[in-house]
Amino acid sequence: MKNELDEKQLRARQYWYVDGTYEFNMAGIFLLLTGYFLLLAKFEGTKFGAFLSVIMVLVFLGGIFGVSWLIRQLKNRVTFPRTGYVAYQRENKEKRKKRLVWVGGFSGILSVLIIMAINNASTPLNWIPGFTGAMMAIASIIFGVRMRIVRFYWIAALSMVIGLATMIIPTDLTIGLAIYYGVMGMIMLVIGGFVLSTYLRSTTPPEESDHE
Amino acid sequence: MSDDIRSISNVDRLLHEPSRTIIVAILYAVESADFLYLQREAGLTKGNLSAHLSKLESAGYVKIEKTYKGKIPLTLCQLTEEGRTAFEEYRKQLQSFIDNV
Repeated sequence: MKNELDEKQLRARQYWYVDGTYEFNMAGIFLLLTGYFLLLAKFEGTKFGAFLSVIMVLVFLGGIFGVSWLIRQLKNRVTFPRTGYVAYQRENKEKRKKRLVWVGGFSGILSVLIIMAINNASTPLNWIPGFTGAMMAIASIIFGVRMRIVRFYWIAALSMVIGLATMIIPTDLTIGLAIYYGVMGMIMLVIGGFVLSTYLRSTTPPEESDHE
Repeated sequence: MSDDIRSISNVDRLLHEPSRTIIVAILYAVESADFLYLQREAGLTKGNLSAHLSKLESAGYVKIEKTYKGKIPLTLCQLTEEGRTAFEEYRKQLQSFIDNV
């Protein structure tokens, strides 16, 4: 009985990830960053390029909020009418602040390093895509352990491999990051598509009268 | 009567019913869930789920709000503070009984 209750509670927590929208969310953010880094590479050394590197934190945070909004719309139209609506307890203010500091801090450090790379071409910064891949891998593993969802381990492994591979490719830092985010974005789209199609095949939309 | 038997006989009878325990366990893990989700996860018919929810609502364990999401009617169920405390207590009692047996 106790195990069954734990299982039901775990399933309720996993429900957010049942339809692949989390992967689409990440894919959206990654592809946005790909476009950003490609633009940065194109305008490197110009005033516009300098401006772009300064606003990286804003692009990152704006991307998170924008894509999350789109995903919520998708859930409202596809998932909730099909298998039901669940709202999760909001993190307390302290936790949210902590998360914002982590995300802001990470993208802040990344933008400082990029500015350094632009201003000092002799500084070797090839390790940044590898570092980004490792950070993403650690985050995915933590998620996988907390939610007990196996595919997060695969995402972690792929992120690690792609990050290391991008590190080895002899290219500019911005292009390296664009490659990392681009490949990861495409992988997330494929995984999200697979999860969504599995979800759609395994569930049937209820009759109109099934909504109490 | 031994302490073990007394402890199990003291459990909340309203929660000590498999379907209601599952409903409350699910609601404990989230902020709120709708009727459709609970029905699917608890594996109950509409009538059964309605009856259990009514009992839980009467006891003040569950708050039910009927609303709309777009054009679709939505029955949102949420565990009250009282319901949360009762479930925590129920699990503790159950655990202590299992530990002692």
